[in-house]
Amino acid sequence: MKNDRVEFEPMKTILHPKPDQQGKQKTRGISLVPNFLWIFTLVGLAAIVVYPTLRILWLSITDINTGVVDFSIFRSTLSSNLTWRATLNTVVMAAVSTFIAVMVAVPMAWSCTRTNMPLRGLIRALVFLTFMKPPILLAFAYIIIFGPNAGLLTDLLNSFGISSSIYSWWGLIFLTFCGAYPIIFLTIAAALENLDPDLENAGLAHGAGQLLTAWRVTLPMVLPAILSGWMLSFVIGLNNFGIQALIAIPARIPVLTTLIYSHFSYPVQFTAAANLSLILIAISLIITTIVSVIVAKKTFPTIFGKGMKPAMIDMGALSRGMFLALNVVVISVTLVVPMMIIIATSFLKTYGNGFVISNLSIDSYKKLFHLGDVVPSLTNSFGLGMVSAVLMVAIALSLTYFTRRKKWWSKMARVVAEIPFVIPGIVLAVGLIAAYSKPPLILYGTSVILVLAYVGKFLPVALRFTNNAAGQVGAELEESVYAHGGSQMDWFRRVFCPLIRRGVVAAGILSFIFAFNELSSSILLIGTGTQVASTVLLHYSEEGLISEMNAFCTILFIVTAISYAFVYRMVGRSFLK
Amino acid sequence: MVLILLFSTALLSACTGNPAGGSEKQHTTTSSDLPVTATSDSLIDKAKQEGTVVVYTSKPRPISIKLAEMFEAKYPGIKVEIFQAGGSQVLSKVEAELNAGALKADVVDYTDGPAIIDQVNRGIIAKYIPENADKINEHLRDPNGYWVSSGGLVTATIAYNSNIISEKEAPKSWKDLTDPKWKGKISMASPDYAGTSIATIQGWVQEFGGEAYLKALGENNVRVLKSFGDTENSILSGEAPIGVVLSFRAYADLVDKKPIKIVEPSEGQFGMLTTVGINAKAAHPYAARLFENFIFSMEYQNFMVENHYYPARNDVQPANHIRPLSEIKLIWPDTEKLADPSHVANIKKAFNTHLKVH
Repeated sequence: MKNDRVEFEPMKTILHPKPDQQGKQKTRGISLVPNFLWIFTLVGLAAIVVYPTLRILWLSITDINTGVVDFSIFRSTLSSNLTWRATLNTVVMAAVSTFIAVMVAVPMAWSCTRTNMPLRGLIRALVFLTFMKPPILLAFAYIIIFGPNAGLLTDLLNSFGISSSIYSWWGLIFLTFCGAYPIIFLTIAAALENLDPDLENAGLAHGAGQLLTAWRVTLPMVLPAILSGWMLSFVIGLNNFGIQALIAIPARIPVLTTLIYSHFSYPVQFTAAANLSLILIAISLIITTIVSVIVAKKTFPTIFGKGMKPAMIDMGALSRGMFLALNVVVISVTLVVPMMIIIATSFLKTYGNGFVISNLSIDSYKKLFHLGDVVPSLTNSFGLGMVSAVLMVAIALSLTYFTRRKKWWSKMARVVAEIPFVIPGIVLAVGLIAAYSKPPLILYGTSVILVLAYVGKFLPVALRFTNNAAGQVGAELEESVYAHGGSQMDWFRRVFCPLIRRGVVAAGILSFIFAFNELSSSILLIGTGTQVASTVLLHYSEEGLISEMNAFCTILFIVTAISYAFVYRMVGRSFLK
Repeated sequence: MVLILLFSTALLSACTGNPAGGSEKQHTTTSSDLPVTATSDSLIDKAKQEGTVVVYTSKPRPISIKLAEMFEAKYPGIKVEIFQAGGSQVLSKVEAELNAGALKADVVDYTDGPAIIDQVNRGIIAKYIPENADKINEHLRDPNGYWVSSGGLVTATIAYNSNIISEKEAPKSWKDLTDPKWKGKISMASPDYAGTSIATIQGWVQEFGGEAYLKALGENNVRVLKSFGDTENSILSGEAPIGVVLSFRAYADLVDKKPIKIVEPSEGQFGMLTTVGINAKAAHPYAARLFENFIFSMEYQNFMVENHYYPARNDVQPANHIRPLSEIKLIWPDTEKLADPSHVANIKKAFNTHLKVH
């Protein structure tokens, strides 16, 4: 975190609970560019988030045939026993799995960033890869491993007296956990590496010992990051239809998403689906608000203009071994083993005749390429993902900037921006179709509508990363710029932007991945002839083209790995930090 | 920021966004001018002027793509723009567009066949009787001329994994699925996601008089999966070695030498209605009608036969490995009941309760 343009005195290690409080005189020199920025941001938010969401709200309280306000379906949804059972199940599922994820991700991230544990670089890269791959691949793999009757390891499970399969509560929680922990890991790892070492040094100097220092000093400092990562994964866990459809339906566990999607078959009932989405929105808003309040009280600026890195902790052999074992086990069960299963299955000549040499072939790949979906769908997914990521980061940066400047609207805008993230994609798609099918703005039927869906849905992801990065920049830096005669624009362009660059690159990459893997709004929004990778995968699965599906999963995984290596070379390791 | 915007716009236009065709070309033809029936020859010229036909279909992906290619080869100059997805997704897309007041499809092709009747009642579907309609199986066309079969007949039946279950012990009837020896070994698709399952359930309710059969399936722990594809996979993997399947897909697996056997249930197979209709406000009304005629052409019918469907036309024979309709017992789930949204909602609810789905 060096910045050679501005010289700083080393700052004292004073914590500033609210980075902006000292800088209330920030009305000076508002230039044209930021003015343009906030108009751009507000218009973007209104078009992408507010208007489609309003259409969904409207849908949930009107009779769809007559267009008259009608609360009867709303009332019957809220008075249904099933609704509340599904709500409880959803919350329990997300809470338990993300709690386990925090318990696992914190020691993993700490050992990978702050200790001399061997293989830590590799493990970190693999966690990132776990996060990048389409989440549904794991569900496919674990159905092969722990499916009832024929699962590869189900008998083993049964021999322990557990007469259960992946179609169960533990299966649902395990797979939700697999999707949750990498997000928490990445958030915490980033925070751990940007910590101000002075506090830890103080702890050590007072004789606290390394583990006690980690517990009493480091942990409280990264608590905001933990909460923020947890919240993100919790909301993702609430609304992961891909996994929930494959596991929760056969497991007979009604959850909100499966209930919502069940209204999308004949007779199609958008109103009931929109009503149920409101419950998801409410849960997410409650969680987000609580966490925001806590985090706002606890975010410490950690970049004061010093170039010191936190110290590496030299662990004993026993602790090293224990932490390494934890990391290796988690990586194995969430990435290595399931991917090996998928890859092996893709080379079976006949699915159903088992893993024997005589049954190996590349037929699945021939059949897959014969269908001709691979290249166009990947191209579309890449293109749309890139455009969406760029827009997301632009809006997120702008919002973050204005939030720091305490604009009255920026806080509200940030809360509003959270909403679409938790609306099930298919419902959001109905809102977007309703919003943009008629003049003056016909976007439905073009790729723009997909970009709107992705940006609207995953903006909170980008926001969280730009905000975490910005939250760590101390207010003293800004004051120093003014003290040295710099303007607000100087501060923004020459200090703020370079300092949060890594956070921005991370936000861009993560937004891209989310957009690339988005499935449920894409289903309804893709136009004629346009396919994206995730919808192609879904069709193969629904049409029972299992060999083609596994081959495509393998290709997707390889593409993911290659893009990862590419980004790694281009940007260097820093984007992970 | 401007740069970012420009950059995104450039990228956006670079990636293959396919603006749904036709919306730019609004036709002033009113539905009263349009023919209620017409030969393909009489439609070609106007269809070529329209240049495009937009088809929303839930036929399997490889099949729908091939059919589009066949149409384009036969009628050069008319582009077929296809949106292909699962049955419920196509229906949802259509309903979402109707809700927004702009249905883009010229032709809709549903696996949740009876859903179209509800739309006919709402005035969304145009009346059109295609060429060769007199040769279509009478169960597969609307006596009032608003919808027709989407080209082939699919039946719902039972299939099992022949590596795991011998022919001798395999179930022989729908009734056998309630035998406790199959407890936990049967799977089927959820009516909440796979529309065709609704017709199967209606068939059971008709055949066994009420919900008793659903209750028995529930007691036998029949596993409910999201789609027929999942059911097929679960039979092949042995996860649930018996399943309720759609015949054409099971025959395709059989031809691929996958370990699957198809049962001829003693009560009969269920005939599934898959339907095609034309948007009453289609942007390409003539091309849409030409496309519907094409469905009942010999080449389309033969292609359906190659893909293990029963042909919709009485004068076309199914493939050799498929028992002809005359030799199988066929039960037709009550189309009128299936067209009634509240009845369907009720049987879905009964199913989900008895099978403890939720």
